[in-house]
Amino acid sequence: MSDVVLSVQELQTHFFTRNGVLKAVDGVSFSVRKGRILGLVGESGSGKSVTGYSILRLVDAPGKIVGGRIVLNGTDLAALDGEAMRRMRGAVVSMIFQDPMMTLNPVLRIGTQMVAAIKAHDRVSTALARERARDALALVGIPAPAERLDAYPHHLSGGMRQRVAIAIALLHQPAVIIADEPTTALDVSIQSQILAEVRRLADQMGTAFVWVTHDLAVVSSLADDVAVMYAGRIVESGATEAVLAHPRHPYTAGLMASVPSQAERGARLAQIGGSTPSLGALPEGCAFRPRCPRATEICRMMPPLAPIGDTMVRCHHPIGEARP
Amino acid sequence: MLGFFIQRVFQAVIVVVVMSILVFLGVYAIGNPIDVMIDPAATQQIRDTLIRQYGFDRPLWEQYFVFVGNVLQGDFGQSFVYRVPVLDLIFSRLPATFELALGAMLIASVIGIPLGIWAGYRPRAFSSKAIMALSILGFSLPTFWVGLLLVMTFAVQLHWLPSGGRGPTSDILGIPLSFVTPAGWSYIILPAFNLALFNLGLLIRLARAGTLEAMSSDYVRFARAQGLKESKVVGLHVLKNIAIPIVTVFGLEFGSTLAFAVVTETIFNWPGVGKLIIDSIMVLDRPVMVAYLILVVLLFVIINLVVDLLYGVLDPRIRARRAA
Ligand SMILES: Nc1ncnc2c1ncn2[C@@H]1O[C@H](COP(=O)(O)OP(=O)(O)OP(=O)(O)O)[C@@H](O)[C@H]1O
Ligand code: SF4
Ligand SMILES: [Mg+2]
Repeated sequence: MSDVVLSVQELQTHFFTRNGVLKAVDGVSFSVRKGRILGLVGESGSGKSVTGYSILRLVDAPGKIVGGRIVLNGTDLAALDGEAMRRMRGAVVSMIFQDPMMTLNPVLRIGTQMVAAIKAHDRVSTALARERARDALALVGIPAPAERLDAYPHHLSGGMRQRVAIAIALLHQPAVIIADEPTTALDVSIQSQILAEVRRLADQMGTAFVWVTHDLAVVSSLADDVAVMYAGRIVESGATEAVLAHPRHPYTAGLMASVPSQAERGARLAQIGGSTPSLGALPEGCAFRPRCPRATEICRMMPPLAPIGDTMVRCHHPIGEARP
Repeated sequence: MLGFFIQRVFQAVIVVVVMSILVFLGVYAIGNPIDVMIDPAATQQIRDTLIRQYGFDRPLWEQYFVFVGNVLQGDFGQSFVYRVPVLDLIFSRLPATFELALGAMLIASVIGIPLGIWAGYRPRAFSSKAIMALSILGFSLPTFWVGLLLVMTFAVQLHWLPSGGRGPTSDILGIPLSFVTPAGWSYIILPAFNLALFNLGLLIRLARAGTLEAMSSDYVRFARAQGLKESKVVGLHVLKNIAIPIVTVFGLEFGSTLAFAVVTETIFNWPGVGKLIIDSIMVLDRPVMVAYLILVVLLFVIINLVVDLLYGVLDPRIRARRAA
């Protein structure tokens, strides 16, 4: 589609550890359209955060992007030099993190941090930068934004801090924001307020989001599209309603069966039978095979990501098709 | 804040009182100064007169209270040797020691902090490992040995710098100082460097540890995600976070550097308080020793107090806790 802003193609990010190469992200592809929200779900360790860091080229050693393209508004980020990539960060693509206690520098005033973020890309006076910072805080629904500029992070509640982080990410109106479980640490009512705010911002400003989460309830209420990750690969992706109404991949179906009840929302997904495989010792072929009730001999070969109806599925025996 | 301040001052006073008793007892225990003061051939009568004159025949506790009474009036007594008020004697030597210690701390910070930040910023680089080796040397090589080596190399062999003494000084606000003239510089640079070594090692380690921790924090990742230049990430976010331990150590170490300049002053024949105290110990010049030790205690207590108060200025979280 023509309004795709971010297209990740066959992304590979590997960690070169003493005990061998960990393929944390191994051929991930997805795309996000303007103003749309893509939910990226999967168990702990499936490579969601590493995917996010890779898009911003912020993977720490010993990790390294070893393959693939990250096309953002027509530019392949993976091919940019360091300074060109820096210019993209914050301006065209930004990121927010899970723990609102840790993402803001505890010893710098909110205003100082925001002014630094503005001046990273625009040559403006501090006075003007502060005005823009104040407006950005107001935009994400922070009361008395002018006073907040002089506050330190510990003066604010967790929800307020995460709003500040979102405001900072929005300062330069980037095309895409990667959100790495930003509401997981917050309580449910604050979380739903922030989700509503994000939905409004995406619609009004046309910002696209990649929303990383464990929580399928968040996906169903927030995301237009969903991509399910398992052991460094996308196993199923498509429109949220389609995927959640008719999961095709046995792993997606397992995730849905283990959705926590309303009372436990935000809790980690209950484990599907068996445990997440260690990246160092993946089975050959389909990584989900040891846990999969539908597995057969052919699953010893890696299934391709193939279209079934409107969704893409990486499985030899997708649900809804007869098992041979 | 005021409550905190009063509490800290009160603690400080108690420390000074206890220390003054210990110092008095300790110095009393090391021998009878009369033997040093007078001609061994003097008659018993002269001895008795002198003992009575100095009050050495009184009970110890009475001597202590007389001493404290005098001290509270600013009178630390007269030097047995120089026959001048002890306080005048110490204060006349203080600028030399102060300048030396300040020079040493300056050298240690100007070299140590940037090196430490670099070592924390690029922990795997060869240069960083070399820096850490340097810091271990700074820690573990004995000051007197390095001092002698410096004299041998730069004064005796190369004739670049004088081997000792203070050289010419110029008065600023009535205080004689070396750093004003190039000739003064040539005298102070070697002893200051010698005295700096330990703190150099310390500041390198401290700056490195703080930088390492900050570099892996979420707020640094977040700052990078906003497109901040690396110089800004380090210069703003990292530096502000490592400032607290550095200021603490700077303050505390400045005290010990002043107090323990003794070795360096002796090697370089630097006419400071350290040299004075060594000379006084040789001849059991009791008033000088007592006054010196008590002034050192006072100094440490005051520095501790200032550092504690500075903490609050630097770290807004601590300020908030104290206000509560
Ligand atoms: N610094 C690192 N060194 C070595 N391996 C790493 C490192 N960071 C991540 N990995 C590997 O990458 C895998 C994926 O990690 P990632 O943080 O992306 O998972 P995640 O899906 O975000 O999980 P979670 O839901 O717990 O945040 C991990 O299982 C780990 O093996
Ligand atoms: S490919 Fe085979 S093992 Fe893998 S999910 Fe599909 S059925 Fe299960
Ligand atoms: Mg994660």
